[in-house]
Amino acid sequence: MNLADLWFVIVAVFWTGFFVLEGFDFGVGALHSVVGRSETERRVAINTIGPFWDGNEVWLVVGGAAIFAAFPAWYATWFSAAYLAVLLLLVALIVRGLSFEWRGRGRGDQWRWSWSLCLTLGSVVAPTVLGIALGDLLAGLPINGDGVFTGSFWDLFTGFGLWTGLTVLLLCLLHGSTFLTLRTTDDVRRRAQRYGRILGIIVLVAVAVFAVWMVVIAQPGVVSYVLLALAVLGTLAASIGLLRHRDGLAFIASTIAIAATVGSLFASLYPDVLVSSTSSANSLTVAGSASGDYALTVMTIVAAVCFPIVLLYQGYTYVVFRHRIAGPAPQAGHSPETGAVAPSE
Amino acid sequence: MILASLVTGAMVMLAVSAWQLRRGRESFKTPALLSIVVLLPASALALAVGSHLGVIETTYQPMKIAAAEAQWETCQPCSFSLFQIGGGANDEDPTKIIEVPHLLSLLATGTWDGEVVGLNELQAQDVAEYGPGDYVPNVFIQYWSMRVMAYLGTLVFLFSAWGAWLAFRRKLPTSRVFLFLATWAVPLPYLMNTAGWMLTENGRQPWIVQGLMKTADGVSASVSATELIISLSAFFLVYVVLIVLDVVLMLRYGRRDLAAPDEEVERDRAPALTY
Repeated sequence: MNLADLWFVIVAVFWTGFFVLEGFDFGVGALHSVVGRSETERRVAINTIGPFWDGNEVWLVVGGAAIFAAFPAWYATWFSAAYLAVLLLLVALIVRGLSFEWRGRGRGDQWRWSWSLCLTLGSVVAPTVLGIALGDLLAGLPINGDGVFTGSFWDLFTGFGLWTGLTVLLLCLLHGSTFLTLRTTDDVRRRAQRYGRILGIIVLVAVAVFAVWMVVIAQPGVVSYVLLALAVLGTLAASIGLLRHRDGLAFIASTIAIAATVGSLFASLYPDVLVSSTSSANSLTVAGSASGDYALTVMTIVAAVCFPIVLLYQGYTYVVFRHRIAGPAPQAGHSPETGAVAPSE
Repeated sequence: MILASLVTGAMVMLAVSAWQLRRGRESFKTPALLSIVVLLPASALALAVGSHLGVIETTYQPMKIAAAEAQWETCQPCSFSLFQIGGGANDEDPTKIIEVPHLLSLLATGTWDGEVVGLNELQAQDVAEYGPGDYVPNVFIQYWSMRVMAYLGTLVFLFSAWGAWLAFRRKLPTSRVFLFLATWAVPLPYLMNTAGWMLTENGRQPWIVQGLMKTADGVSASVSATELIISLSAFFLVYVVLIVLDVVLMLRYGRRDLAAPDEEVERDRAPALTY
């Protein structure tokens, strides 16, 4: 395995890790108004991801930066082609990130309602846009011999891309439900379980169609078949876990489902990184779009030193905030207003 | 960047503390003192690092420094003008209002009589090295962003020195004039940082990577002007809304009194819903 291949695997790991981690907080963000009926319950739902969401989002930054540094040609073509889609993604992430910080800091129902809406919309739009963009890599975009995207914004909506977007969004919702089930108590937990069971069936259909569609367009290898099978089995196991009240099992299963789905995309893509629908000769490949050996060597050393440290401190935050979150005890007399003053991190 | 962040943070903290102290809230004495303790060395170091960077830039990006002084002709020793009229758009000689002799030599080369190569000569050198083209950045932006950055940086440093002197005399919480000015000085570090950013980005033009890649060559082939207008308008709109909301929230929280101690104990008992 040469360095370019190694970095393709690293990029795939970053993106898979991103969806595993940010996947559940997208799901919680999208579902918080439904699983939480009262203001306190909604805050309980948001507080399950409060300490984690920003750390999770860094995986996207690293995933993008790794492509920029290791595969500049891939980065240039993909991000320029998806220019307006990236804009949409960034606005979604901005309003979503702000809603965590600001929702509890203003006054009045209207303020909280507005930021809840931003959180929900941002959490739905972001994974959908990313899913479409990932699906497009495999479905193919109009790219000429110079590696320049020749289509318009509407060419980004390929059939397989749209289905990938939908599948990824649904997987995030399921993953969010299993996470909420694991992290909350009482009514919020019961509702998360109920929605998760309904979602489980829908996700199963979506992932199955996704798997068949991928096999048809990409002639994938053994790794992809194994991952696609894992994605289907993981979804099934998550539904069973939710039915049997096995919260931990359900969360592990939905983790496997979302990881295997994203992983299968990268496995089927190799040795290409961005398929050209104009001519297969124009497709960008791992070897053709990689940086020089010197840059890749330096990056490998930096990643080998920094990655374990990041994993350690991110893991530590999950250990610190491992307890289930319940609303404040009734006699404590918290109104949502006064509870908001506590410093956040 | 770290120093600029420290200066900005300390100025904001000082402004809030000053506003509170003017209303007789004694508990803000310590934060006011702490912000002075950070502000004085941070602003002094920022000036020192800034002038050292000036010397480095003269070696690597001489255009940036020559343009910041609107220095069209090579000079030795070079003076620094406090204000000037004209001389921005072309190579006409500017009317320099007040000149400080030797100061530019000192800032740009670190020596009393150092030579600063003028824009005309640098332009000729670059044409010889990289081929025909205009290699002079926008001199008007460069000259004034340099002035705004340097003057505000000095002002902030002098202001923090005044604060430190008051603190030493134990008069910080009672000096009405200082506290009033400290409250209203909050935009200064923001303007200073913005001007510094404009100085460095504008001064590198037409290059995006000095000597290797021009900004014009870095434009994406598949991104249209319409798409750029859409994205810039969208970000402008988002940020304007965010600035307004941010200022409202910061004012509201900055004006709050500190929570009473017994309320803190109450909060510790049940895990607070922070978000």
